[in-house]
Amino acid sequence: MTVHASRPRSALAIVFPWLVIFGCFVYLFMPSRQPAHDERFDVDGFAKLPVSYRGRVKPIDSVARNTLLVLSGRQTLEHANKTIAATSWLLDVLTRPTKAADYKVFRIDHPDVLTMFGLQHSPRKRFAFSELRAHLKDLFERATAIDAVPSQRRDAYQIKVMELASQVSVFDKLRHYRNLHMLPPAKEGQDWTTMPDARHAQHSGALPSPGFEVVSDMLLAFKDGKPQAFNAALSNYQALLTLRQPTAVQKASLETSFNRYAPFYRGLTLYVAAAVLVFLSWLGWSGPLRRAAFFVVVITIVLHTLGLTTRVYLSGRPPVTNLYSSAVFIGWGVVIMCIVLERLYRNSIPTLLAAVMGFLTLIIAHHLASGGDTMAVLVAVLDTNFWLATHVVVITIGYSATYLAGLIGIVYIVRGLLTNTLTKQENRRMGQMLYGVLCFALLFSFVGTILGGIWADQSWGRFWGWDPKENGAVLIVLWNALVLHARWGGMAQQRGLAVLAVFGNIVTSWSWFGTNMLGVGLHSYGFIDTAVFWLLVFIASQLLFISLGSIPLRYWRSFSAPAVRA
Amino acid sequence: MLMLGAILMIGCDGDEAIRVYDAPPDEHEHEHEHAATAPQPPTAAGGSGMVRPITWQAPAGWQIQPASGSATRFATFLIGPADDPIDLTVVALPATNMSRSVLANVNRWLDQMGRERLEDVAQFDRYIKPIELPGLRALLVEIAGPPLDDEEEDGDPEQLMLAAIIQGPRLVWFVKSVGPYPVLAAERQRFASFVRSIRFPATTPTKPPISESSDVVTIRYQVPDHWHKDPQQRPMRLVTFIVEDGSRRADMWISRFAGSVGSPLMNINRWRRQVGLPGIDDLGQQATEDISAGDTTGSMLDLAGPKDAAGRASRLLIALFNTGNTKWFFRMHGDDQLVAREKETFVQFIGRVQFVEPSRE
Amino acid sequence: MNDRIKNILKPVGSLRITVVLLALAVVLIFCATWAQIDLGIWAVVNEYFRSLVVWVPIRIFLPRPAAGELARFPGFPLPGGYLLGAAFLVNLIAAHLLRFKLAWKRAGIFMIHTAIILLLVGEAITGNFAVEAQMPILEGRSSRWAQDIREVELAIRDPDKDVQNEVAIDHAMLKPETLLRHELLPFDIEIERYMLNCSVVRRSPNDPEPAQASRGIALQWRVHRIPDVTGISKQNVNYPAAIVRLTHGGQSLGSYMVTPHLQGHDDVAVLEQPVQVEGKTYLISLRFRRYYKPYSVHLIDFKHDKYTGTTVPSNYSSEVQLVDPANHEDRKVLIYMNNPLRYRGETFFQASFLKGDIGTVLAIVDNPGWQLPYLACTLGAIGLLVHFGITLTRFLKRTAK
Repeated sequence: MTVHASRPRSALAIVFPWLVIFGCFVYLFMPSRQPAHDERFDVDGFAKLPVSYRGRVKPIDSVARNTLLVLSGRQTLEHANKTIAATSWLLDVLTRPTKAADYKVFRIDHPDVLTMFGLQHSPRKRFAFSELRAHLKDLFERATAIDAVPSQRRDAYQIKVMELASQVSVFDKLRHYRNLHMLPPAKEGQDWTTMPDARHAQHSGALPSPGFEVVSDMLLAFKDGKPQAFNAALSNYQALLTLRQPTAVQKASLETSFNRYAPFYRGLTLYVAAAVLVFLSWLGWSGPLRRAAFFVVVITIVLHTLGLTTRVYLSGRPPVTNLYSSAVFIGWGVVIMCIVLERLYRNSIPTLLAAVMGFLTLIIAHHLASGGDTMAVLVAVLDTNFWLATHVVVITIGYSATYLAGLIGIVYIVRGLLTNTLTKQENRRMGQMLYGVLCFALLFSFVGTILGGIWADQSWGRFWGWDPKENGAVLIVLWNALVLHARWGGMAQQRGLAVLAVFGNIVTSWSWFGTNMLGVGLHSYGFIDTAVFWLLVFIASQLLFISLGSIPLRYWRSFSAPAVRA
Repeated sequence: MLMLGAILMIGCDGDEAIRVYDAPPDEHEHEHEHAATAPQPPTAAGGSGMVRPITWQAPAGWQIQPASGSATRFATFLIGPADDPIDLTVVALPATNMSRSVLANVNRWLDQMGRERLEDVAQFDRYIKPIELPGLRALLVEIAGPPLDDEEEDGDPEQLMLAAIIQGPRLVWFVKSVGPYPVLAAERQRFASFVRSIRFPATTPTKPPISESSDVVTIRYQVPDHWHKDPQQRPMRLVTFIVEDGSRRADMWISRFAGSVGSPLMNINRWRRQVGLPGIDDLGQQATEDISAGDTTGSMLDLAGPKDAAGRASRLLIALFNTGNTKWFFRMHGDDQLVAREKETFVQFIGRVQFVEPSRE
Repeated sequence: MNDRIKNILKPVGSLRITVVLLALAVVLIFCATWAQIDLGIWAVVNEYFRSLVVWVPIRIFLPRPAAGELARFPGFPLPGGYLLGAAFLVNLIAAHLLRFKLAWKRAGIFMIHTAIILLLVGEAITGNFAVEAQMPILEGRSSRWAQDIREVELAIRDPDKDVQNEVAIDHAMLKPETLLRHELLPFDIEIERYMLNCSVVRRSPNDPEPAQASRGIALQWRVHRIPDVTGISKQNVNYPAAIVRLTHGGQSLGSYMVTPHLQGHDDVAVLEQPVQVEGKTYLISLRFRRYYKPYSVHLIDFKHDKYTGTTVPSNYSSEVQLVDPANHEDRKVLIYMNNPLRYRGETFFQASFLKGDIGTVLAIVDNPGWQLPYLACTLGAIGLLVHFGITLTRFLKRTAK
C-alpha cells in the first residue's frame, strides 16, 4: 500500500506533518505541571538536595516521590481538596509530624486488613497514620507471626499485612530521621550520616558531621513557619554541599528535573498520538497522516533514548538492571527496529507497531515502578557493569525482537482475515519482514543466552544451572529456532510463520514474567496475584489470535476474493 | 527384621560405596567431649571460637549481624520487619561500679529516650522488672519515649526501648533495642525469652600458677640418653640439655614465647652473628629446611660459622615452630663438629616432640 | 553419495524431525520448570535432563493444596535430556552429510551447528564428571577440604593415625535397617533410622520423651523429620540424620544420633562423636561428602560490604593464602564475586559466607568440560555473524534493486 506520488500533493498535505512535529515540540517543551505549594519557602531548592537513602545518593525529591509511591500508589497527595507534591509532604513528615499524621497516604485494599483497623466501612482507599495508630500493635504482632510462614505460602491477607507493616515501618523511620542519611561524609571514604547519629556524635563530644547545624536550623525554620530563615539556611547548606559533593549536587539536580519532566510519561502520550494518526491514515488522507505518525515516532524515540541515557548517567549502570528498566529498554529496542523496518517496507505497519509497543511497554514499566526506586542498588552478584551491559542488553534485545515478530504476526492475521489489504505482494513483504525480524531475534536471544551462561560460569562455576530463568531464556531461543527451521523445511509459509511467531509472544512473556511467578500464584485458591491475572489474560489473547490465524486460508478475506492489485 | 545388606562391600567392587581418606591433622583439635553448637552460631569475631562466654537461644527471625570489631559490642541482631529491621545490641562491659550500677545505666537510657532522670532506685519500678536467670542477677528495662510532637497527647508513645542488664561472672552484659513503639511492643515476648535463655558456660578451671599456665600450649618430649639436662634453670629457657664429647660441647635448649619476638630478619641476623656469619639483607638469602615436630611443621636453620683464630668453628641449629599464638625455638649451639654429628639426633628429638593444647570448657 | 545411504539418511536428517525435536525440547524444559516447584533443582535435572525418558505427572501444573497428599493424576511420558540430545546429534549429523556440501556459503551454519553440538556434549560431560563442592573457612584459619552439600557420608576417623585414618560410607548405603560390616570398619554399624531432611531441637533437661540414641549428642538434641527441600524453598540443602547402633564382636557400643546439622568446636566442621572400642577411641559423624585437597587455603580476611544504611550487599571478597607445598605454591589471592581463582583445573568462587561474617564459603568447581561452552560460544557467535551477515547483504542487495 505504498503511496505513489500519483497526483500533486496539496499544500496542507505537505505542511501537515510539520505542524504535527511542531505540536510535538510544543508538548515536549511544556514545563511540567507541579502542584502548588507555599511559594515563600524554596521547596524546590530543598527537593534538589542530595541525600543517601537505601544505599544510593539521590535528591530528596526522589526519596519523597518513591516513598509516597510505595505507601500510596501515587507520587502526589490529595489533601483538603488540594494536591500536595511529594517533597512538601516529606517536609511535613520531617518537621510537622502531627500534621503529617493526618495525611491519607496509606493505601489499603484488602477488607480483612481494613477490619483490623476498624475501617471496613470506609469508602476511601487511602488512610492516614492517625487512623492506623491505635491498632499498629496488632499489625506488628500479626506481621511477626506471618514472618515465620515461608513467603511462597502466604495468602493474600498475609501478604498485605506484611506490606502494610513494612510501609508503616518505612514511614516511621523517616519520621525519626533514621535511615535517611542526610549529611555528607566528613572525609573521603566515609559514609553519609543520619541526623540522629550526628546529634549523638555532637553530644558525645566528637566533631559533628558537616552541615548538621545548618540542616537543623533549616528544618526548624520550616517547622516554625519562618521562610526567610529556611531559605537562608538552605542556601548555606547548598553552598556547603557544592563544595563537598559537587557531583552529587549536579546529579541530584538532574534527577529532580528528570523526575519532574517524566520523559517516559510524555513518551507514552506521544506514542498514543502516533498510533491514532496511523489509525486515521487508514480511513483516508493516508500520505500525510502516515508521514506525520512516522515523524512522531522518531521524535518520541529520541526522547525515549534521552530518558534511557539519563538513567544510565544517574545510576552509573548499563540500561537494563531490573524489571522496570527491561520494560523501558524492550520498548526502545522494538521502536528502533520498527523505524528500520518502516524505512525498508514503508507500509505504515511498523510505525503502528512501534507506537503500540512503545505505549504498552511504557505502561508496563509505569506499573513496575510502584516498588519505589527504579534505580535501586544492585546486589553484589549483579555488581558487574560488563555483564550487565553485554548479556542483559543483548538478551533484552532478543526479547524485543521476538515480541516484534509476534506483533507482526498479529497484524498479518488481522489484516489477512478481516481486511482485503493482504495482497500477494503485501503477503510476500510481510513474510519477509517477519522472517528478517525472526532471524534477528534468534541471533540476539542465542548470543544473549550464551553470554548469560558465561557469566554464570565466571560467577559460580556453572555454565548452565537449569533454573527457571535460564530455562525461560533457552525456550525463546529454541522457539525462534523452531519457527525458522519450519520455514526452511517448507513446513510453514507466511501464515504459518505468523501463527508461530504469535506463540513466540507467549514464550517470551513466560520467560520475562512467568518464571517470576512460579510457586507464588499457585499456592492460594481463589486469589490470583494481579500480575498473574494480566499474564493469563495476555496469554489468552494470544491464543485467540493463534486460533484465528489457524482458520483455513480460504476463509480469509484477503485470500477468498480475487486479489486486489495495489 | 534386619537386612544384612552391604556385605558386598568387600573387595574392589562398589568402589564408591566405601572410601578411605588421609584426613589432615586438625591444628586446633581438642579433647573429644565438647558441647555441640546450635545451628545458628552466636560467636562474635573469629579468633578461637572455642570459648563462648555467653550462649543464648535467639528467636526465629532475629538475624545475627557481622561482628563490628568494636571491643565492647559483642553481637548485633536485626529484629522486626524484614525489610526495615531494627538493631538489637548485646554489649559486654567490665564489671566496674559504673557498669554495675542500675541507677547509672537506667538514667543514661532515660536520657537517651528523652525522659527525665531519676534520683533513687525506688522510683525505677515503672521501668524495671527483675527476670529469672539461674544463679544470676538480671533485670528487664522498658522505657517508652515521649510523643514525637509536643502537641500530641494521645495514646501510644512514639518509641520504645527494651533493654536488659545481666550480671555475668566477669562482665556486665547489656541487651538493648530501640525502635518504633508498635514494632518493639510486638517483640516484648521474644525479647524476654531471649534474655531468659542467656547462659554463661562454666569458665576454665583455674590451674595452679606455675610457669606452665593454663592458657598456654605445653610440650612433651623424649630425651636422648646422652643429652644431660642442665639442672640450672636459665632465664627465658624452658629446659636446657648439654651434650659433651671430650672437649667438645654443645648446648641444646627449648624456649617459648607468646606474642611478638621481633622481625624474622632481625633474629636471623642475630643468630648468624652468634656463629660469626655476616648479616643478610633479605630473608631469601637464608636457606631453611622443613622440619616436623609430631604433627606440626616448622623451619630449621643450619648456621655453620667460619673458623676463628684458634681454628675452632661453632654451629647453630635452630628449629622454629608456631602453635597458635605461641612460638617455639629449639636450639643447639656449640662446637661445629659435635653439632654436625648431633644434628640427626636433634632432628629426631624434635620429631618426637608433642605440643599439647590445654583442655578448655 | 551412495543412494542407499542417502535413503536411510533422508528421513533421519529431515527438517521435519528437527522441528519435532525442537518442539519436544520446548515441552520438556517447560515441564521441568514446573516440576521444580516441588522437587529440588538437582532432582529435576537428574529426572528430566540427565535421563532417557521421564514421566511427567499432570499435577505439576495444577494449584497446590495448602497441605495434604496430592491426588494421583495421570501424566505422560517425554523423552529425557540424553535421549533428545542424542536424537539432535543424529539428526544434525545426518542433515549435514545429506545436504550440506562444504561450501563457503554454508560455513556459517556449519559453525553454528558445531557450536550446538559442543554445548550438548559439554553439558553431558558436566553432568557426569563435574564436581562442585564448598569450602567453608573461618577467618584466620585454613581448610584442606571441601564438601559436596548434595550428598552425605558416614565417616569414622581414627585420631591416632596420620594417614588412611578415615573411612567414609557413601550415602547410598545408608538405608534403614541395614547392617554395614566391612574389614575397613572398626565396628559394625546398623542403620536404625535414616531421615533425608530434619531439624534439630535442644532437649530440655526433663524431657519426658526418651533420647533417640543412648550415647553422644542424642542426649542433648533431638531430630525431627521435615519435608525435603524443593527447588524454590529457602533452605537449599537437605540435612539428613541417622540413628546408628554400633556393635563390635557381639558387644554393643551404644547407639548414636548423627547429623551434619551440628558443628564441632570450630563451627565449621561437623561434630564428631567418640566411640570407645576396646580402649581405643574412634570418632563418628554424618557429614556432607568431603573431598580432601592436596593444598590448603588460609582465609586472611573476609569482607562483606553493604550499601550505606542498607542490608543489601555490595561486595563479598575473600583474601586467601593458597599453600601447596608439593607445587611450591604459597601466594595470596583475592577472590570476589565474578572474579574466581583458577588453580590446578579447579575454579574457586566466592560463593557465600558464614553467618555473622565470621568466615567465607568458597565454591570449588572441578568441571573437566568447562572450556567447551566457551569454545562453543566463540564458534557459534562467528557462525551466526557470518551466516546472518551473508543473508542480510543478500537481502539488502535485493531490496536496493
